[in-house]
Amino acid sequence: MAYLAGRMLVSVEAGAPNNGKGEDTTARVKYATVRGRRHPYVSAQAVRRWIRDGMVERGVPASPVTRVGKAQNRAQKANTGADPITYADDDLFGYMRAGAKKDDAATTLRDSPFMLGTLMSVAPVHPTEDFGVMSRGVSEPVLHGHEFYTADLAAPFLLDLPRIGTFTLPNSDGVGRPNYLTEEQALQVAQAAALGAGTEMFRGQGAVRLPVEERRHRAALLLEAIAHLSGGAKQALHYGDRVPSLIVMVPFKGGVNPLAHVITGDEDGLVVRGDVLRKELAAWNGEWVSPVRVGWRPGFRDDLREDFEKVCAQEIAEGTVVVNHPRTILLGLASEMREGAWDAWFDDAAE
Amino acid sequence: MSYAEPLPAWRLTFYAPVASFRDPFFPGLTRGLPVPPPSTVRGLLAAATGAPYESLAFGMAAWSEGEGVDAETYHPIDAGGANPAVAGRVRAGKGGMTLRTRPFRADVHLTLWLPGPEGNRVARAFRRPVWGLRLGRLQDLVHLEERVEVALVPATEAVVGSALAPTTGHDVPYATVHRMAASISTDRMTSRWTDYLWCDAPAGRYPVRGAYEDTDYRKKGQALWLLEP
Repeated sequence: MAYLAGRMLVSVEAGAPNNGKGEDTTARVKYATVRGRRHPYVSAQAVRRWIRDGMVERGVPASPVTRVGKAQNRAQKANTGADPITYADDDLFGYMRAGAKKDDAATTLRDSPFMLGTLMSVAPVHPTEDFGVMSRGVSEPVLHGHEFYTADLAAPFLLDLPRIGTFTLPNSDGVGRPNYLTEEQALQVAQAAALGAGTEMFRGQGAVRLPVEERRHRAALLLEAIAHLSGGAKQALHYGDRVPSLIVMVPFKGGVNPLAHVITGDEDGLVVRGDVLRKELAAWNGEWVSPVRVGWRPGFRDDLREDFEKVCAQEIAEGTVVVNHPRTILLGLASEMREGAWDAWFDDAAE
Repeated sequence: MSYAEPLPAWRLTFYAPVASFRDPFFPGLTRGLPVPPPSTVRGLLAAATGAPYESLAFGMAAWSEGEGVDAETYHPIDAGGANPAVAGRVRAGKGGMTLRTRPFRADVHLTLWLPGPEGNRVARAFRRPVWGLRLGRLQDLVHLEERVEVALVPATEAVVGSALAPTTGHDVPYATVHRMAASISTDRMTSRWTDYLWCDAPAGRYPVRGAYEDTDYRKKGQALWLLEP
């Protein structure tokens, strides 16, 4: 088992969590034009930042921005830790550390094992333009405006579990990107040795690997951060809950995500398709592991939930589909991971 | 393999809600390409098989239903230390925090035709891809929607649609030429650039040269050209 595929939905009520370039004195929300209609969205990098900040708030030490070296007559150089062995956020979210040309230092980078798409509105929405006046104690009021909207935003995500805590090394013919420049360098990290990291082959590349206890702990941290999701712009003016109202997660053996059309939309708004879920599960039979975890906040679109539970009644009765509160689902899966119930997921599936 | 024989192939259909393909010929600017370059598609195939590189010839058609321009905040860290980052944020100013635009496509559709035994091997790998499937950047997750076996027939007239064609492939008057990477070496140091014809509005039936036809694609003969790396 290798991948946790999912789709999450954040319900925004009169909010502007992610804004684009302002025009004159008006702040615009970010939107895409699809089939001629406006779909507001929250960019992937914004949500990743929310999750990352959420991990820090929950006491995970963040990869520091350190200042190192003394160049000629200039002060120091700043770089992030770029140390995925020590810091869970460098591991989960990736980094790029570009060396300075004049030092001839090489570049190391890590692409994130946690892939998250754009939180795109499932239905076209006309953002409201709010008109504001700053008139306290000034004779000539200052006029300004901003946009906000009410929409259900959905994004796919994919978590490459075996790659958490697995750091590739360069090989002789330049294939693959190194997270570390040399094996020694990786194992030099005192923590790595203390954690019991070893070198092995991973998907045809040499890699340094942390023990599974640390890797499952990091995966759990990520799920817990999503369960506490908060953040975004204009929280004082448009405060709103950002914990996903709806989330679907299925473990897959390969890097696929067949959940695109399970949470979708039409002209009237949100559509949740239990029949699509059933057909996809049948089509991918043998490639996924039961149960499908569905987190659905009580009171959120109960009409759709009733239909969904009716369509998937058989699966729910058999326990292949589990429906519960999103936080219960996420925190439950995280604690099962911590207890080692899913250690098999942290290695690629055998043929 | 003679050109007159029908060619067995797999047809794979993909859907990406959001994807972004940067045009590398515009350094310093982020100009977006309307279609994924063939090199990007090769990366997708290699992600499925787990091999460092996939060099089979394949046919492709791509189009998207929407677009947008994202605004991204860059926090470049000055190597001289003149503007250090504090909690991941850098002060605005020359060489400091800046806003960049990033064009993207929404509801991107990609159809691939993978012919012959090599195509068979690669198509089967999509049942259980080794790496996560993405089209474009890390955040551009792509969904596999359909995987069927088809027979490709050599064609002299077919629906050009949104297929990528070599510059000699057809004479659709409003087709535009896009210079894109056909393939990139595994050490990422060299790219092979090729000109491709693409129609931003699907074209109807036209005479075609060097093309194959997928007769049961959407109930009409879709032309496709096998693109070499």
